[in-house]
Amino acid sequence: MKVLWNNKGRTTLSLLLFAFCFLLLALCYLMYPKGAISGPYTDSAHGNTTYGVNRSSISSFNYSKGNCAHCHEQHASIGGSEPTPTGGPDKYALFYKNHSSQTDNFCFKCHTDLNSLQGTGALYNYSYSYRAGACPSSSCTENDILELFSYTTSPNSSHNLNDILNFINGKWGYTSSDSNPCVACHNPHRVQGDPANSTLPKSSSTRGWPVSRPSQHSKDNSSWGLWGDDSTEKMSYYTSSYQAPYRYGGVAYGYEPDGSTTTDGSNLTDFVTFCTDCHNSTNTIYSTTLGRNLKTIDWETGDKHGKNTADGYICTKPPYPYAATCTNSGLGKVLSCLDCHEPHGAPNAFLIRKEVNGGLLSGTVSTGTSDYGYLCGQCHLDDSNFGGTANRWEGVHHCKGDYPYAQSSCSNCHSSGGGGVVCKGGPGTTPPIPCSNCHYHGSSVTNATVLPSTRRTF
Amino acid sequence: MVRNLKKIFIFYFVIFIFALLFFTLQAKAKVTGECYNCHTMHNSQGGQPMTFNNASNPVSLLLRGTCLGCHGQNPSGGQYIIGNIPQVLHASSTTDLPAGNFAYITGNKPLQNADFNTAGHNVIDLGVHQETTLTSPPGDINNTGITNTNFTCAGTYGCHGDRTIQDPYTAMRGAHHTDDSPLKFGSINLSGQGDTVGTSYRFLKGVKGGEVSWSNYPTPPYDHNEYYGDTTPGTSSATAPANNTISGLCAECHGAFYGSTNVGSSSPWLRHPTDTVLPNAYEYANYTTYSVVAPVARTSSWSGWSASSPSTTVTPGSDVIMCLSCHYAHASPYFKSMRWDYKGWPGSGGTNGCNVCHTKKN
Repeated sequence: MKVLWNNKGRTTLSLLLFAFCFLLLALCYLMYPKGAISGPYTDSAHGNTTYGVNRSSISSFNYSKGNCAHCHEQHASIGGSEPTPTGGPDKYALFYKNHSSQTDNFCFKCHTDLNSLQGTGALYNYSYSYRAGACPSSSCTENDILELFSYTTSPNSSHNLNDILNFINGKWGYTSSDSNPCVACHNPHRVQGDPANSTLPKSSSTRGWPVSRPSQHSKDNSSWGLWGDDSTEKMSYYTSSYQAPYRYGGVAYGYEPDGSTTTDGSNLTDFVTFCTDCHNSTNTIYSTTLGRNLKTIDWETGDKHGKNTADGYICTKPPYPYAATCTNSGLGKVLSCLDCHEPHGAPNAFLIRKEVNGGLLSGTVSTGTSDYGYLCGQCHLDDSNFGGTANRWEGVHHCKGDYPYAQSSCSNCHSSGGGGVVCKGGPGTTPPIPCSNCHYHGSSVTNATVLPSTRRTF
Repeated sequence: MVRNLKKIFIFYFVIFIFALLFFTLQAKAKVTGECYNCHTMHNSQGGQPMTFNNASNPVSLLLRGTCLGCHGQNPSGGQYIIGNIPQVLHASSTTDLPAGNFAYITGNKPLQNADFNTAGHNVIDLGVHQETTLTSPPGDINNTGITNTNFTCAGTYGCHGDRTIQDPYTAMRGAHHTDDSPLKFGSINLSGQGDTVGTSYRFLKGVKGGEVSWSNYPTPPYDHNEYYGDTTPGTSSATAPANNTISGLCAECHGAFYGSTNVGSSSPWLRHPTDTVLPNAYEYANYTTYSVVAPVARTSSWSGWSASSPSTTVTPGSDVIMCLSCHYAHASPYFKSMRWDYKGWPGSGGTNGCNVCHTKKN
């Protein structure tokens, strides 16, 4: 006898099949979500699908933003001819030569605010004073990388790209004939904006990590990772004694680098470890700009601004240890390199920032006798804090804290003059000694007349 | 007398056996079957033409069709193999042959981000969508003489056959009847390849390689051919491929994109290298499973030539990059006949074939 399906059976089976298909589809969706791509390159600024690389000269071909073709021309030919800029092929199949001079570099074909090949013709990047310090744009006016590297005439200064190339040649897989000096500090396939795709200063919710250590340079994009993106690469890991400087305007505006209340460096890339890949106590780095080798830097056991703890008094301003007449409490703060220096270029000598610890420098640091004081005065108490004149340093040298020199026979050291203002209430005619005579990375004196006679002076 | 008859019978029986063995053991031709399957003496049978498309004009070499007459029998149909004949023009929604599908140019299959000019090689044999942007092959430093109005399947102005012969049919003459066993897995003999059209990979005279059997295609490992490459590029002429490689064939027309002068001999490369070893270092060392998205070529020292099937493994440090690592030879739905949606990545969210080799640049 035939047994036929009844309506109830058919319905039940249909429902079961429907449920099964739904579950299967759901599983497929969960396992293969469309558009969910993430990786070291697509997480980078260049690889971002919204604001990533987008060369205007190939816009007619409609390559996706972030596509390799915006930087690399596999054949130096698309549609039968080489896209602008012509003159290729170039090494690494780039659309332009890697590096020619301080202002002629592959990266600058996009990283400029004038005739940029990126998108609409301008790509804005800003100084560290602006991004981290929130320096007002009316004061920190630089708005592109080429501009910063164009600071080549005194008092302006910038990282000399040819010197970088010469230094890294033969190290860590770099060569002077093929490498791009920008790549000494940045991995182009991983670099992130901080903040990304923004004209604003950094904020705690928009952090990215722009640098990669030169010593980790590798063709393996995973090995040559971002520096600063995990906890062991922060200033707080380098030292427990980091104190973040103020943002422009002071305490009410938060602390560098992101305007938050975090001050221990747990939100700041360990720039000391980064910079000392090159600028350390042993490397010899020749500076074409200065016509000499750079001072070596020992941030571990040498400089007092590093881990070599102050051992007497310190005369500093908030947020650093402060007392009206200097203090011997809370010593040992350690700075990050970028607390004082710009990484790319600055309108001051030695890449000194225009804005430091909550305020603009009151003058340009150039070759003037007391120019360094414009920087030092952002953190250190000068005579104006002791009833005297700004950017004069009688107090800290002669009568405040653990001063090194007794105040007598001025002309023994100074060219002339006498009568200290802050210390003795005199007329204050003593001309200053150039700060640079005694204060620079690695400096010390051995002629202090107040013991100890030998002192580190930086 | 009976004994004599017996001897005669045995003698002729032995002769018969030998004759039988001779004909059955004789080398098999590429094509089999009755002659009239492909040829017609008069292009007329019962007053009707015998060409596949019923055209009254006869075809060279007494053929019943042009190249597409056999290899593009049903452009709108879903069969990619018809009677063991590979179809280079069809509308299967699931499978294309390893060289791609001209259907993306004719419109029989949908494009992704290419247009009819950029989907592949616009041979005039397609009869539609002649190339309107390029008038010669990009990078044609060998001055092949190919233009958008004469570019065809075979011969001097094509790719298949003997490129020293202009007429495409004459350029292919005899190839289909040649013993192709040196090209087939299980009997591959590299030294027996390349001298004639029939003994060349896919009738590309001078090119070596291993041809996948269509009977198992596209089930892995039978989802790809094995292409022949070299560790360093040679020099191609307009009619002969450098070092018998598939990339050397491409370089006959696209010579500016090939060779140490135009590409460089080591990193940093001026252009993307081909006929260059995939390094066994850095991110490249991770490419160890064969990918039809970005396939590799094998060199003469590859042990897999003696295998019975294509291989599923890649050996960085030995296998080489080729033009077909990134491009389809015939056509694809993607811009510039790419093997994946290169132009749309990463915005499309799809596969980036670059990452098959550049494993850490995703």
